[in-house]
Amino acid sequence: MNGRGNVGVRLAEIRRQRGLSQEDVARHLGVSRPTLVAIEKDVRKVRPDELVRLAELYGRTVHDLLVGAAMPVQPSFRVTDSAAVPEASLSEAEEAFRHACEDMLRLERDFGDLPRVRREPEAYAVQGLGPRAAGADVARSERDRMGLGDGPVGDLAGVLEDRAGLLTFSVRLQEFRIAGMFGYSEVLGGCVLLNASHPSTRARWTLAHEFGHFLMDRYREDVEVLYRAGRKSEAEARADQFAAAFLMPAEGLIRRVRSVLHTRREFTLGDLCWLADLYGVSVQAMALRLETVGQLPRGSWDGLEPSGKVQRARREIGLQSGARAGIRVPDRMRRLSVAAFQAGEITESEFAALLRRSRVEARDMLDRMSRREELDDDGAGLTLDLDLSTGLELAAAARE
Amino acid sequence: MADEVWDTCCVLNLIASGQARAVLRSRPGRVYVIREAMRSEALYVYSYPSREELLPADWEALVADRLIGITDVAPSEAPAFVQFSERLGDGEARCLAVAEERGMTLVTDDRRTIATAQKTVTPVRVVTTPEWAHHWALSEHVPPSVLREAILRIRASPRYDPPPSHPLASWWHHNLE
Repeated sequence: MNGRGNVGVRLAEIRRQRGLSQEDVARHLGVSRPTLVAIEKDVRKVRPDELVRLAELYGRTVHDLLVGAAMPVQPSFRVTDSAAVPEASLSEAEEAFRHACEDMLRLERDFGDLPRVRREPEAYAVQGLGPRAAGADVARSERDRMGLGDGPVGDLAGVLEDRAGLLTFSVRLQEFRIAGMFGYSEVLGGCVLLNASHPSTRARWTLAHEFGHFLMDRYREDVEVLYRAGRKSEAEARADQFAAAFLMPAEGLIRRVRSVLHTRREFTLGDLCWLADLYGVSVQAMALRLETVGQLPRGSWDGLEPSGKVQRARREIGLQSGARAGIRVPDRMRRLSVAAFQAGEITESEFAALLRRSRVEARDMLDRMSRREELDDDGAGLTLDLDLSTGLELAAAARE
Repeated sequence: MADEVWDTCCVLNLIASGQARAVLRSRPGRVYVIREAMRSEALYVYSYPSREELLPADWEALVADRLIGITDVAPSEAPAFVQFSERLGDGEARCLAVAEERGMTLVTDDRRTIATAQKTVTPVRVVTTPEWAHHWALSEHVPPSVLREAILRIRASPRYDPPPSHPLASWWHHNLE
C-alpha cells in the first residue's frame, strides 16, 4: 500500500499516462505548478480534497490512487483503421489496459502468497524467415511445447495463461474498431486486452495474433491496423500467419476434411460452417485457411461471401451465431480476488471492480467458485463450501 | 432514532427482496444513499425466479417516492473519506465517512467495512441485511410466506446469505423452511 505519505510518485505517473501537463493539473487544483511538483515529489502532502479532485480528473478511485500498483506497460494496439479511430478512444482503451494490468500487479503484490508460475517461452528468433514460414514454424513449435496436438483449442485464453504465462483481459471498449492490445513487462509478462464487444470468433483470432507478437515481437510497441488498404508490415503478416496456423493446424484440418470426404464424397458449405464452429473461428477464416492448405480451391471464399449462403447454412445445421467475447479477467486474477474477498482483505465494490463485473455478477462468480456440487457415497447431492482464502497444508512427504 | 446511510450491497439486497417500499417504511430513521457511490457502478439484479436476465436495480424510483434520500460527502468529511479509502473501496469509504461524521447508522454487509467501522474513533452502529429483514418482519407483523419469499429473492438474485457466525443466521434459515 502506498498510503498518503508517498502517493505523489503514483499521481505523477498517472498524470503522465493521461497525457496531462503539470500546468493543466495545477490549474485544475487551483495551485501553482511548483506546489504540484512538490506534491508529486512527496515534499508536500496532498490534501484530502485535492486527492478527491485528482481522482475525478484521472478517472480513478481515491482507493486506487492510494493502494494501486504502478504498471510500466506500453501497449501496442490492434485497430481497424488508426486514421479513423479518435485519439480519445485510443487513450480510453490504453487506460483500460493499464488499469487492468495494475490491478493484477496489485493483487500479486498484496495477496499472491505463492509466486505465479510463468511457463513463458523464450522469444523466437524469426529473422530471415518469410511471414508464412515463420508463423507456421512457431505455431507448430508452440503447439508441441504445450502438448496441444493438432486439434481445436477450447478455452484459448485459459490455455495460454496456464501454458505460456499470457494474461488475457477482455473488457467492453466504447470504440468497436479497437480489437485488442498487447503489452509486455518483465514483472507481469505478456498481457493482452481484447474487446469484449467483438464476436467470440474474432476475439479468438485477435488473441492468437497477439500471442504471435508475444512469441516473435515481444518488445515491439506500435499500432496495428486491420483491413486498411495496402501492405501489412512483416511483423503483422507474421502474426496473422501464426494465428491461422496455431488456431487451425494444417494436419488436423486435412484429416477432418478427408474424414468427411471418406464418408460422403463431398465437402459442403454446412461442413465448412461446422468445421469453423469446431475450431472457434469465423467461416471466412476457415475457408481461407482451407484454401491455404490446399483443401479448397483458391477463390472459394470470394464466391461465397456476398451470397448470404453462409448464414443460411449455419441456420440449417443449427449453429448459433453472434456470440460475443464477453468480459474476462485472467484465471489467476479471479482466484486471487476471490481469496482476498473471502479473507476480508478487500471490499465487495473492489471485488466487483477487479472482476470487471457488476455486483450481482461478482457475487454469482464467488458463489460458483466457492461451492462445489458432488455426490456422497450414497449418491446423494452434497455441497462443499470451498474456502480459497487459506492454503492447504501439504504433506511434507509430497514436497520431497 | 438515528438516520441511516445504506451501502450499495444492502441496497441491492433491498431491491431484490421485492419489499423495498415496505422495508423502508419500517426503518426507524430516514434512509440515505451516497450519490457518487450509487452512480459510480452499474447496479443490476437478476430477474426472479428465472435469473435469466440482468435488470437495472431501480433505486431512483425509491428516491423519487422520497423513501430514500440522496446525500454526498461534504468537504469537511473528505479527510475521513480519504482516510477510510486506504482500507476500503470508495463506495464503502464514502458511506462510512458520512456515518461517522454525522452520527448515522451504517447499513452494510461488507465484512471489511464492518471491521473498519468497529475501529473508528467515534463508534459507528452497523445494521446488516438479516437485521433489517428481522426488524421489518417483527415490526410489521409480516406473514411467514411473505418473509420467506423476500429471503428467497435475496438469496436467488444478489446471492446473499448471512455468514454462519451471524447472530441471525439461524433465524434467516429457519424462515426458509
